[in-house]
Amino acid sequence: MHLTREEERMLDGEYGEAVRKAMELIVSIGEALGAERLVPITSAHVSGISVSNIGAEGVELIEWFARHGGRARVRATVNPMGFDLDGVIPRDPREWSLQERLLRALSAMGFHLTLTCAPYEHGNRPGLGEHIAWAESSAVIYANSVLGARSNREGGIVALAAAITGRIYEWGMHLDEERNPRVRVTLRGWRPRDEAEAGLLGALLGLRVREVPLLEARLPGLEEARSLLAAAAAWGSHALIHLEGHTPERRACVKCEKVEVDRAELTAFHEEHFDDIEGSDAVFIGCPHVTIDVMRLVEAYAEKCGGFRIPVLVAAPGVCKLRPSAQNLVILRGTCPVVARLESLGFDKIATNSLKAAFYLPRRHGIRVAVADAKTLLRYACNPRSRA
Amino acid sequence: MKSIVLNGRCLNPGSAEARLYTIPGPVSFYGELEEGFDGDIILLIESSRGSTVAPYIIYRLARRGRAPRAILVWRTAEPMIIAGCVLGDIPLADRFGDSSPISLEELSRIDCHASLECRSRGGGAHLHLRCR
Repeated sequence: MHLTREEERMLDGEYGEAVRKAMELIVSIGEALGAERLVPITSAHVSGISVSNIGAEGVELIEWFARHGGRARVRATVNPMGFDLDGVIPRDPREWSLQERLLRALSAMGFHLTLTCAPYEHGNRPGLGEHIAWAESSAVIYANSVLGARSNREGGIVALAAAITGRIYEWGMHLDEERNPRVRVTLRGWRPRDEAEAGLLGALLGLRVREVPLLEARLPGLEEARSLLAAAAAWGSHALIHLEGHTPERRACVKCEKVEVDRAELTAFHEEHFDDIEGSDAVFIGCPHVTIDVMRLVEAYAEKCGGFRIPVLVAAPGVCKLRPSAQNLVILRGTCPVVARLESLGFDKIATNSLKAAFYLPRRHGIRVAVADAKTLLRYACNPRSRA
Repeated sequence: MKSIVLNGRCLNPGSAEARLYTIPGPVSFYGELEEGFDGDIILLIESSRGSTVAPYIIYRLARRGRAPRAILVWRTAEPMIIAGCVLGDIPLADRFGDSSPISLEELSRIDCHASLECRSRGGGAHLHLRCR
């Protein structure tokens, strides 16, 4: 692999131990992938910052980087953790103290503790053509497909090493030709009406399509696009989907394979994988983390309904300021039920508008899932008197 | 005593010598190898299933002295296992299957002592086996 003189110096330890180790990591992976060189990045987003995932040694490793002079050289944000900031989810004191150490180490290295899977809504919003190193699959696919920035789906520690060196290997999504669509997806006489349907379509694309798709159908809005993308990234391994009206790169579909999806398939998939909404003992919204618009929608329903009859869990960024309060409205700041220890809350069936959550909740927590759009969910959770 | 030489690609340089422990299939460090190994071994796996937690698990094994002396991948190493080996200072080499005179299945059925030479990142790796 070709390295610039500065990159050589990083690898030789002239910028300190943390940069040397981080560079070794980036270069070794780049070599293995067959990358010819590294590219400078403008942004990083790090995942895997839950103590429940990475353990005490993971915390010590990140502290090691901080102690040995590791500093983020580019704008860098962090994903949600396994605990919420307000203590709604019970905290094991030992795990929580490790979590606090981890946050201190990240902060000392200059990472912004946004604690969100939607960094692009909170100050980390790269533009068209920028090379970035992001972990968190839903943010990566959003960055590629909606912002036109360039990132592979990096592992959390790789994104951290990229932040410290300001470099990533030039491979995959960083290369022009890898970003061309290969599969043209058409819908036979229908289109998704809301974010839940868009998510179902995304899940189907995740399962059925391997290469970069181009979807020839206009989605109602950005929320639907976000839902579709997050679902495709969770159910499959997509990093980019070309979406009409949302993707800034215009790339022709040359010699594209064709895939058609009809509504009947969507309905069959929904019925096969998910429960009926009736009997759900909680509602979950905010995967990826809620936008301010959806938070306002929740707030409006909370007010209209005079609170909710079952818990309405809303996952929000750690930096979220808007915190409406109402009966049974549970705002989870800085975490998300996918990574948090949900067992203590004792839910059997959760209704959600997120197909990403619908992928992970049964697999990680053994919870049954129902799927519907946010308005249907909020109506379902509404107190009976004001329902209708 | 049969002597076999396998050639591969060096990804994280280092040398090691120990008993060869072969797993003839894809391996996930997350879930399957979290406890690590007793005693000195060189681990040979067909491939790894990449979990983003894998680097931390490999690093943890290294810290606890329960990691292999070296990790060898029959096919191509994926990014997460590379990250783990770099962080844990474990020599790593891959692509031994490309030119091997013996199948991975066969290797898993015999007892071998292995010594690995892996000097420069991206360069060649040589695995000397003495088997019975």
